[in-house]
Amino acid sequence: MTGRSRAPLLVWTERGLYCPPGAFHIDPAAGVPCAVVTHAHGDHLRPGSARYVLASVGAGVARLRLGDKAGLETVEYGAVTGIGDTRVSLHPAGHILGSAQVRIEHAGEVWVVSGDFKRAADPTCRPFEPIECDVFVSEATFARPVYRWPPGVETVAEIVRWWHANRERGITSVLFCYALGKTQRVLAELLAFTSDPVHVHEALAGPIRAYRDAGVPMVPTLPAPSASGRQLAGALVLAPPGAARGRWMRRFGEASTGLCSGWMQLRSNRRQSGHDRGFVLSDHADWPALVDTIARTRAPRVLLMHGHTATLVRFLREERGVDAAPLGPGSESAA
Amino acid sequence: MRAFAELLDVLDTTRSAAAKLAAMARFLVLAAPADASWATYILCRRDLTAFVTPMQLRSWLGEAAALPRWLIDETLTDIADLSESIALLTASTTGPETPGAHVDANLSTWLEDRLPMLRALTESGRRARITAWWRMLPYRECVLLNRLLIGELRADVSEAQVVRAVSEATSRSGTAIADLLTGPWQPSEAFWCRLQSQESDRAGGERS
Repeated sequence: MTGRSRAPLLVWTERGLYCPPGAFHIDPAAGVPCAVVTHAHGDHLRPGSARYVLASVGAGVARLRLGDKAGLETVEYGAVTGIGDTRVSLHPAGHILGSAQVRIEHAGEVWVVSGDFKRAADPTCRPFEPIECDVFVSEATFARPVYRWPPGVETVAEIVRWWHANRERGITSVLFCYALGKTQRVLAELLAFTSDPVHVHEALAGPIRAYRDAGVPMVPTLPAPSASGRQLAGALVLAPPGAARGRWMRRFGEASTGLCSGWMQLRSNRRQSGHDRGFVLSDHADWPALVDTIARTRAPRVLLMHGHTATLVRFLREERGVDAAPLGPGSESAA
Repeated sequence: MRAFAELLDVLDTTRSAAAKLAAMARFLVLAAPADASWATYILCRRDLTAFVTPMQLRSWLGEAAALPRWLIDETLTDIADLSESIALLTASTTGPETPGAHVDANLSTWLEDRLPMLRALTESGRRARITAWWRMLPYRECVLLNRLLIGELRADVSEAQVVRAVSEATSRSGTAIADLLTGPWQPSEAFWCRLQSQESDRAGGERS
């Protein structure tokens, strides 16, 4: 491992992160010849690239977005692949099924891109593995010290209490969660509390099937009814956040609604959510996890993407003596 | 205190009057009589005793959160709520089920024993006790503790809604409950038993 006198291994371009010696992009914003993909969320995996390199366990969920014809090149976690003049390997990121950090080695220098990641326990995916490197490119979505997650199992216990209290009142509980990742994590965590079936919005069916195909145990699911849902009094129904304000909600009689998200940590966000309850459950690293992870990589240089980069950059520079800087639109390169 | 903290969060988040009423009535039915009485007192926005000042809490936060002053100040500005900021920065995240990580007790124990006992301590003793609570309590209980410490708690419900909830929980008429909650009263197990007792209904009926 060496200092930073050489050309950067990754630069920021209008299509996203680009690795010149490997001639590949990471999570490109548009079609490129070669895309190394950290995970299958829509802001990281987009159609139109000629070649996709991703973790093999994530192939099923990636196909949901790309279809059957896209050129997927799947690799096992930890296996090294030569791309251009670089050696690339993917490592568990703990974000969702198949999520990966990207380790790039070139001329004795190692860069690691975290992708979206979390350190909290999640029964649906392999846990994050810290990797030592020269430069660590980290996400910073929740990089403020107010974001400190309670254990996921505690939050799901609270969801169950809410559901059961609503059942006593004879009303439906509608819980809004992101379709890919959060939904399946809730369904898997629920196994510790119940084997009752949960009803799901039709948009969640594909991702749930992909997780079941990958062998992730979850509570049984049933489709939410297409028209009148009055027979669902007392049931728990999962739906994507977009369904909250549409016609879809009209099918239920009286219902209590909740939203599952890391943003629900703040009282102001809970009050503005328009839901009866806000449940804190995030698939991103909280502040302590970001600070701890950065220390574990032992990287002398850290570049931060997405979210509250300014606060964490200042904290790392002033309190930890780390050479930290933001990376993304507005920063000319990763150097 | 855990159940009451969860109730306050529900009242704070939902806009549904039916959900607020159901949550309050459910809490009051399940709570111990002294807790139900204190909860009613707080929900009716009766005056609370302050045990410390907001400035004291603020000055203890830097060390308790183990963060630099600029980051504390940035957070206080962003969140604009001292009680919540403290809980966000210091509360336990190990979860209430973790043995030893939790010092939960009944709401009445906090209000009748633990908080009044702070008065017998020196300033540094109060600081040590309160910052220890911050570290042990989960977020919602920590927010509630801070509001009780500075005596500023305004639940997002009207007195009429509280009367309806108490009426539902005690199976007594709203008029009888409203009468009993008017004028000065002190929360206690005995007061809650009076609220539940049908005697005053009959007495009221005879008077009218």
